[in-house]
Amino acid sequence: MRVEYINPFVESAFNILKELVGDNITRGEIFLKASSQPVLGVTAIVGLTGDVEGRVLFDMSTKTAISIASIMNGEELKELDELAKATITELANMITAQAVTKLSELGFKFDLTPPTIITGNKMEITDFEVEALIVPMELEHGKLEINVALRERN
Amino acid sequence: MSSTGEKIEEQANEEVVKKIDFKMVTFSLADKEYGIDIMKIKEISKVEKFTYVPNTQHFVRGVHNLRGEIISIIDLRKMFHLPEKEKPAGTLEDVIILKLSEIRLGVVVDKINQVIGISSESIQPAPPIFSDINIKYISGVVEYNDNLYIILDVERIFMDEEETDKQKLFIDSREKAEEEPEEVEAPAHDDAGLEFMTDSLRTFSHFFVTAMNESWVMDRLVEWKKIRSAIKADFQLKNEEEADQFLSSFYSPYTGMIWDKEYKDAYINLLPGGNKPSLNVWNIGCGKGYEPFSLACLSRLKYPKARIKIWANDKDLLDVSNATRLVLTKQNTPKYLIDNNFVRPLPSGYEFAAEVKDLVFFEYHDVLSNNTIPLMDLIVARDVFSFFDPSSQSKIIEECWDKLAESGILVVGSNEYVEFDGFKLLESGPIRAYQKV
Repeated sequence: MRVEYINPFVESAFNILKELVGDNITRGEIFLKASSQPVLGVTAIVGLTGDVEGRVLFDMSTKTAISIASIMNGEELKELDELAKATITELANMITAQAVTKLSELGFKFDLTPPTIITGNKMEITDFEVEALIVPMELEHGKLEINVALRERN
Repeated sequence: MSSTGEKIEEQANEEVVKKIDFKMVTFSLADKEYGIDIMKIKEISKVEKFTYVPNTQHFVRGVHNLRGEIISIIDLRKMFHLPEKEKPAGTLEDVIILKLSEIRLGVVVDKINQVIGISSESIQPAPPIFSDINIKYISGVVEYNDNLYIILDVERIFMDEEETDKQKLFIDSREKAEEEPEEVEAPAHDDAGLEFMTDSLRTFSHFFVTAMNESWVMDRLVEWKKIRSAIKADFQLKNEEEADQFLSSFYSPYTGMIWDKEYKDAYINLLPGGNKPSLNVWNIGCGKGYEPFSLACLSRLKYPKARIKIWANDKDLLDVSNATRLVLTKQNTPKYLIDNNFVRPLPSGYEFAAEVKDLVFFEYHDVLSNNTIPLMDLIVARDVFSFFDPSSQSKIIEECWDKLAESGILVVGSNEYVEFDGFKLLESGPIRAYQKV
């Protein structure tokens, strides 16, 4: 992972979560992962393409997803319905878009794909030939992991 | 409804009042706002001039007599390599007197502003790529009245300097020890000692003794026992600091600095002659950036017209993210960098020119993961493999062989040996180089 890519993602995740979900956010230790990894239950995926290609995953448990969606909508949601899913999608979109804006100011050009939401238990995600950067964010309502895997297009 | 609303508001107000549990003195330095925990501050004062003390570090302004107590005065601008500020003679300068656990000292800042109270919960961790100041000296950032304050970890800043001094002391005593006549004849090979050393180096420094470095460790052990007995200390390593001292002579020349002319010329001679259209270099464990920038400059000197690309990666996020903005001090900048316009002057030293920076591609990357890189002409991994466990060591050496072009060169640390069928030893002077066969 090129060092220039890292900070925009960390910063935009922090800013947007703080603005939308609340003040009580701490960032965990950033690390790298190469092997397959389990996902927590609700995962939003945004694809990136351009000079650099890859994807960004926003991974959280169903409970955390419902809490976040409730706060963002200003009403208590009981289950992960269409509205909740749309809200999480929007969150993923906002964070990725802000990071990509910052990166394009630095001269890197990307296009985004529309976000996709995947839900289910006992899932695993595997990337081939690319290493993933994990940025854990601790919220009041649980953990949100941002998982960024990008590589230069050869 | 309204009464519950008020209650909640009241509670919220109460919380805001209750939460102020951290006070800091704020000051400006080079147009940025900083804060220091008030508990670390003895007092603030204005001083006109300091008594100069010769032969100190460049950032020490001198000493000051504070009502009978002599304290050292440090210039924070100089310490953080910020541009110096012109001051007319006789200006009173703002000084913060710190009381740290072991020492008292004064720091000169541009202007002391005010004391503000905040909630420690509102302090956020500093983003990894942040400011002019090394992130390990920042304990966090906080927003207050629309100003962003960087909170400095003063214990860390000044205790680190102390540590460095301690290390220097150690080197002095070691030199002395070597001069003294040898009293104890240490056995040339001591298996029990070696076994113990293997365990403690692994525990304290994550250094793995294998065929790659065993001969150095054995020689060093003999030397180490002499040093330790001269200062009447046990030879066994008890902590990280001692393990670091043991390993201090392991590292290759010019670790943590830009390579000087001679060492650079040795690499230029190592590289194949002729007009290469392109050169790919892989620098594993690039650390703070001295190695990849040295490699970029010498590659450009060797092949003025080639397309050069240096892949520099490290597992240490902090080091590698600060590496792109490496600043060299004036005394640590070799003349050949200046003569060839590889560096541009800054008020506090030199930075690399854009043409050099563009050659280096810094990545936060673990070499044990997939390495998606093209074939390399040169791989430089000095003092890196020894810090991987034995099975990873052989895996990486194989990976290097795989990623090298035909007759490509692998450079390892000057005290490391590669035993692999596909490599033949090319040079073992200051540079230990192997060629792919």
